[in-house]
Amino acid sequence: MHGLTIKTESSSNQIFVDNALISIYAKCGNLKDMSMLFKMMHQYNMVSFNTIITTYGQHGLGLEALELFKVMHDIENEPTINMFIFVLSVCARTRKVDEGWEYFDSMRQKYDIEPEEEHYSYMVYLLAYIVKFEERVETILPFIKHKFGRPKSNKVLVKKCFKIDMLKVANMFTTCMVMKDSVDGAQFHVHMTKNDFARKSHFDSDLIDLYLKVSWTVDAMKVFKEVDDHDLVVWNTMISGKERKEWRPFLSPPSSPPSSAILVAAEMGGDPPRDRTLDLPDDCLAIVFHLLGAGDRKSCSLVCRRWLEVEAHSRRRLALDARSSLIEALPSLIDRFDAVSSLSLRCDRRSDSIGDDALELIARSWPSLTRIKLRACRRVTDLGMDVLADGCPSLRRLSCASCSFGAAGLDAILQGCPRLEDLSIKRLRGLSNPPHQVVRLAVASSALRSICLKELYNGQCFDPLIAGSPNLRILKIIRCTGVWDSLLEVIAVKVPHIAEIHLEKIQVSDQGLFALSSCLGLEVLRLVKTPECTDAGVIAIANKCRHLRKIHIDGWRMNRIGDYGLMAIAKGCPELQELVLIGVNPTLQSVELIASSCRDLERLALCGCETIGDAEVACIATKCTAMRKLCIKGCPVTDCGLEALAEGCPNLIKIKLKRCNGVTREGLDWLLAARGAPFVVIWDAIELQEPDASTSENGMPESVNEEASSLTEQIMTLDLPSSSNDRSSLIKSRMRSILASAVRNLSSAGDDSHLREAGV
Amino acid sequence: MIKLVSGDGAEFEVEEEVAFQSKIIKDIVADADDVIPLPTVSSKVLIQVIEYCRKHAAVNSFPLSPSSSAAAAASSSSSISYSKPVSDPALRAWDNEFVKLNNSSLFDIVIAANYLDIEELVDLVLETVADRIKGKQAQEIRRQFNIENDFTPEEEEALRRENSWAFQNN
Repeated sequence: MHGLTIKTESSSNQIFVDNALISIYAKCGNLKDMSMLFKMMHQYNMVSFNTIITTYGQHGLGLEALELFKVMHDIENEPTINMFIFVLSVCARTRKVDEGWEYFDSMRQKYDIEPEEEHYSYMVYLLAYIVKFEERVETILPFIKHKFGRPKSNKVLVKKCFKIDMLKVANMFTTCMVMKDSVDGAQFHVHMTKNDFARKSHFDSDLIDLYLKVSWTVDAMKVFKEVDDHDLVVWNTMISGKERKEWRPFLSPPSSPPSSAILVAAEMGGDPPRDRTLDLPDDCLAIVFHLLGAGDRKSCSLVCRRWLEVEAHSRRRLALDARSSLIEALPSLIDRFDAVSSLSLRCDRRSDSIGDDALELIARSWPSLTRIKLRACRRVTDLGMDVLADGCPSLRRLSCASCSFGAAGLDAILQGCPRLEDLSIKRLRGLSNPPHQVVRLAVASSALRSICLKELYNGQCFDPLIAGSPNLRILKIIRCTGVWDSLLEVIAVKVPHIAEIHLEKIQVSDQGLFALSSCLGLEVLRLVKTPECTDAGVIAIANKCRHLRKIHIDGWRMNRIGDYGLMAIAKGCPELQELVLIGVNPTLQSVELIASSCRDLERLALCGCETIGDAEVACIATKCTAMRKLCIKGCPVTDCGLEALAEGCPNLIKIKLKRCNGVTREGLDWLLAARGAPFVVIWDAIELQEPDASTSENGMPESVNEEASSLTEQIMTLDLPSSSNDRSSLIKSRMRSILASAVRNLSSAGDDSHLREAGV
Repeated sequence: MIKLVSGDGAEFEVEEEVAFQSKIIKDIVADADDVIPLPTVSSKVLIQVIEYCRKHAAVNSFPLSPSSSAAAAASSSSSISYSKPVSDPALRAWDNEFVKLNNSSLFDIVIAANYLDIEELVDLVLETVADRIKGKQAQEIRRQFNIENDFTPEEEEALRRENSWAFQNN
């Protein structure tokens, strides 16, 4: 390209092209070409000078840089304030004390430019090279004293610098003191690195240089290791410093940075196995940690100091054991994990939990928390929640289960955290305590998007909150006592844009569903074991909510929801993608209508449906063209029904069959062979697959987690359709939760093969 | 064609779309006949990086094969989305082969890729590094990457105690 510009030799914007080129050369460290180009340029401007002078400065060619500055002086008579920064930095790097002072003086006197922090910092730095250190400090002090007042000693001065954020000046003073008085300087350096001040590589390189000069090789190596990105300058400093000290072999060859010094070093040193992670920038190391689970991250934190630090500073989510003695470990944990935004506090049932004091410490120390989970923190009271709200105003998600505080605590959170969007409350004992019975949450929130209420007594105290949250999208009410129809009526009026409703094992009837039907934007509806709901309610919703995408119905084998409701869904919900029917008995009539009307239906689950036989499956096979995943459990289906699937449902990739006694291994093998890859059958506990289809698994790694989570849900809801009355239902629900948590653990390990082996 | 010059002076001519897998090169190249010096990248590493870019440039220029584009069209109306082109199983398999390298070579590549700003390659290598850490204890990790343990035994013990407050899974 350079050649090309020479050839074309023209154009008004030549100077910009040249400047760009210079900066490219500068970045690549190609000094020779850069200066050649510079000599050939017809015009210069500030940009070109800036680039060249700083580059020269960085590469230690101070003379050349200053030479250029003089030239610039002659042709451009108004150097900018930035220009002086460059020049002073060059002087500082190349130890040109007298010139530095000259420029510094001329800056104020000749050009009337008021020096700024940067300028002072370099001047201070220059002092390090002067024998009469104290004297010169006195000279420069008048300039800075109006900012600091008159300090008694250098130490005081540095401390003041820290206080008012003049980090660069502070850094430079520290550096001086390393030269003058090693102990004090080192202390300040430790202080600075601890507080993560001014981690700029060129300061680090200066420090390395100084350490090497005073023969503090260990410290130099330490600083060198701490540097975030090892750029050219740092490497050069390190290596030239080491060469000066004549311990070349000590440094084994680094692969990344090029410079003649390094190439020399590379040729001389042997190549013992080396810690290559040192070459990895901190942010890359942080990405690695983000790919690991909490257990692996723990191991990583123990590897070495650098890993400990990078792991801690990059940690966003933290789960802590919330036993009462946590408060002793808290201060150091808080100090270590300074970037946490999501905190989970879990106490086991038998132990004493943390109290308000710990929560206060947390709220005060991690003010930027956005998510908090409290599990069985029974000693936390309304007061603690009040402090939490006060300390963490940017909270977005709060989830608590088995806690003892009450409505007043929740009220404090809702008032103090105006951005709270996700609220999940399970088994909150304080709500049902008699003194709190009268307290009702009367707060409105425009931020709330999702509310989940589980296993609550007196959950109705949330009614006003729900009514006052017009932007609510998701509402889940699961196993709560009381009658809920009136809330649905309120929602119809106050939250008409709600998109997702889960009602599970609560007392709700068609009256509520009628009201709900006026929420025209409803997309997801789950009716699980709500025995008072009948076809009439489902019909009302299906007729009006035409954007429903997902419908789950567990009819609890009551036969109150059946063909009529499903036919209304077929007619009213053309956008349906997912339909799960448990303990519902649809006949061929409604199955056929759904299969032919809901053209987008991708996922269908039929569990414990006594009426789903071969004819129904055949109908699905021929008509559901969009179908991707099909699940049939406990239905009277046989091999004959599956035969139709060999040809039908062109997009089908997965079938799950469980407790279908009419299906045999032979029938499934035949089906697999007939369809070919990509197609998987999961039959009771076994995964069946065409032998050559294994590659297709690699193709969809992202779907694994999604699947695992939906599996968890399905176990919670679909499996083992329960009968209402006996003791066995209790045992079954126990089993469900155990199974579900097993799956959750497995899926968090991210390994789907285990998952399938576990029989899901 | 764009000419890349490695730190040890070797020249490599590559097509624009191959070189442009690097965002840095894409940003600084003004002309198709540019010579780009890459002083921090050795030729051994540059060869591997170019190999990766060539493969990915070829696949990415046909972002979706006919069958998968049909699937993508179908899914655009649904909730399922195919976000990354890496979901191409063949390319993924190729990537998996590509990173079967020793640690030292992996680090060479990730440092070069980071410098050249080839995001997918950085992610790929860092994932591989993460895989080599998974399930290992601290001592095993140190051995794997030749990392020196700079904790005193007391510090390590204190750290272990502190770590016991954090749960294994979030």
